[in-house]
Amino acid sequence: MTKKQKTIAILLPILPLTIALLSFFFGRYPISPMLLIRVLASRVVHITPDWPSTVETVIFNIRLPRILMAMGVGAGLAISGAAFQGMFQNPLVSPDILGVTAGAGFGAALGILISGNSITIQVFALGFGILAVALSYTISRVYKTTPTLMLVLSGIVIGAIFSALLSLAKYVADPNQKLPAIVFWLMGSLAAISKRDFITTAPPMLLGMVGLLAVRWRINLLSMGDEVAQSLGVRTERLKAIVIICSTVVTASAVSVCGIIGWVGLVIPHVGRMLVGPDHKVLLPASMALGATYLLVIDNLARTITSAEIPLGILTAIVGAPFFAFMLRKTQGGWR
Amino acid sequence: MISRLRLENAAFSYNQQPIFSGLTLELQAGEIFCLLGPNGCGKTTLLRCLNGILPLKTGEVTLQGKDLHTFSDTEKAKQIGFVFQDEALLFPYPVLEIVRMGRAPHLGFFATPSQRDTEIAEAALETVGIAHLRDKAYTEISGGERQLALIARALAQEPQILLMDEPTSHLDYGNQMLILKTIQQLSYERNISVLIATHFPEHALLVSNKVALMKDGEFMAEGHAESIITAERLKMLYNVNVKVVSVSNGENTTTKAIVPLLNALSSRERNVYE
Repeated sequence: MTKKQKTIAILLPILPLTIALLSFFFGRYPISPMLLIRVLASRVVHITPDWPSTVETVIFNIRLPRILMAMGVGAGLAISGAAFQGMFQNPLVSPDILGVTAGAGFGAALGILISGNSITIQVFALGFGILAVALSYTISRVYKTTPTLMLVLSGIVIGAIFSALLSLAKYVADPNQKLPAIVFWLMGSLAAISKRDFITTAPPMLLGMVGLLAVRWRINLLSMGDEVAQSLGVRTERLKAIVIICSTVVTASAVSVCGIIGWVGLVIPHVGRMLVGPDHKVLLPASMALGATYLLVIDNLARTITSAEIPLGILTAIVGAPFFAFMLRKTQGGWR
Repeated sequence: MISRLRLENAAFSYNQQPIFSGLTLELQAGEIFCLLGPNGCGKTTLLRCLNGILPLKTGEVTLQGKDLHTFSDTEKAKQIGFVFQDEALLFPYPVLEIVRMGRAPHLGFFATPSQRDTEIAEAALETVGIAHLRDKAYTEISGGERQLALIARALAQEPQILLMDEPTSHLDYGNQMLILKTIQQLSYERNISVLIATHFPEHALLVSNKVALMKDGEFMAEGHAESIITAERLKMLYNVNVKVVSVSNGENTTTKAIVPLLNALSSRERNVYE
């Protein structure tokens, strides 16, 4: 790492924290900085509230969960993407390569069809997301190993099957209520995030991210290829399984509460590599900080650009793709 | 004396197709052993079996007198370093990071390299003479420098045995000699045993104590390089006519050299056209 990269890596965590603080001020209900500080402080020291109770509801029940969730989802998708790109030795890989989003999409659609209750939708999305990855992994296992190419191909197969099932679910859905619900779910949104959503999804996501961080240096070894890693004493199958399980738990949990949000897991690791270099020991935490920042910014845009919320999945691509194109041109090549 | 690495009556087959069988070899401390043979004779497979990456069908590999299977993956990696043939890499890791990866068997599962590991990696770079490339991207250095970096990575494992798969194959003349000199140094100064699969019989004459000539999955001949490498055997091995000559190397000793004869080769081809 160069000196510049080191400085960037040290300063990166400040970015999402700053944006998070600023994010409290965006939205229909105006909150001044002074008010925010006093409301936050009232939780720690004793201040007699001279503000309407709506203010507390907006801050603690609406904006705080949403901000934390945006950070968690952004960080989670980005770290999973970075880990997968390293493991698959392929910069075009995103966290849904093994079919997790296709599975979750179908699960959510099924949940909407049979009940429409948000807990059911979440559980179905999570369950089918994990099921899809488990199927891909099982199919790709040959002779007790999981060659990268086999993993990618089985991921494509499983993804295709669940996409078809999703189309089927849309086809049979009632076009007045259920179909729009499915379509909107698939576009992704953080608008309906409640405190409960955050409390149920944060622990598995945190666990997955901690798992990935714990083996982050070993992902360097995996990125050298199976044979080289084995010659260095790495039990590649076990390590791959750990990375897949952690990434899947993170991605499936994220997708189950906020729908499908593309581009973060693909693009952010590249931006990370441009800023701090390819070493996964630094790249994984850096991707987390960048992903959290990115999704916060996108979500702030989503709720302020127009009076109606814009689905996140649309914005991540509309903002992300040109930005990525610009970065690619600027760095003349890409994966560095 | 127990040999460091020993292969006994080994056979391997891939999808029912036998690759080699009945192979026995021994690698002693500080010895350089060259494995010669045409493309596809099973050299690379044999190296992978010796490292336990591929499982033997029959026979066994013993490391320091003990069955290779009794060693854990990390224990094995502390004893045996493997230098692969041209590793293509996607991510432009700095050379130092590549070499530091050699510390993996010495680190706990959740650990990252410490200052000491970095120092060992730097010393390994020093040993192969590319300390100045420390911070250069692996993807941006030359083929010879990459090969040296891979040797340095294997050295960072602090192994007693190095297995090398065609370490000189894509290199220019100067770099070939540089790699051979490095290998010789490791054997002389560190008493590391080196097993090299190579396409160059000259290299075996230059550095090796022992050679094995491998053809169609069997050892055709095995022993001291000087006595084993003869014109007749090379003709059998590669179907090339050569002259093996003695050359004075300036001092009072002589070196053997191999001179390939193209005119003789073309006579065989003429037969094909007639």
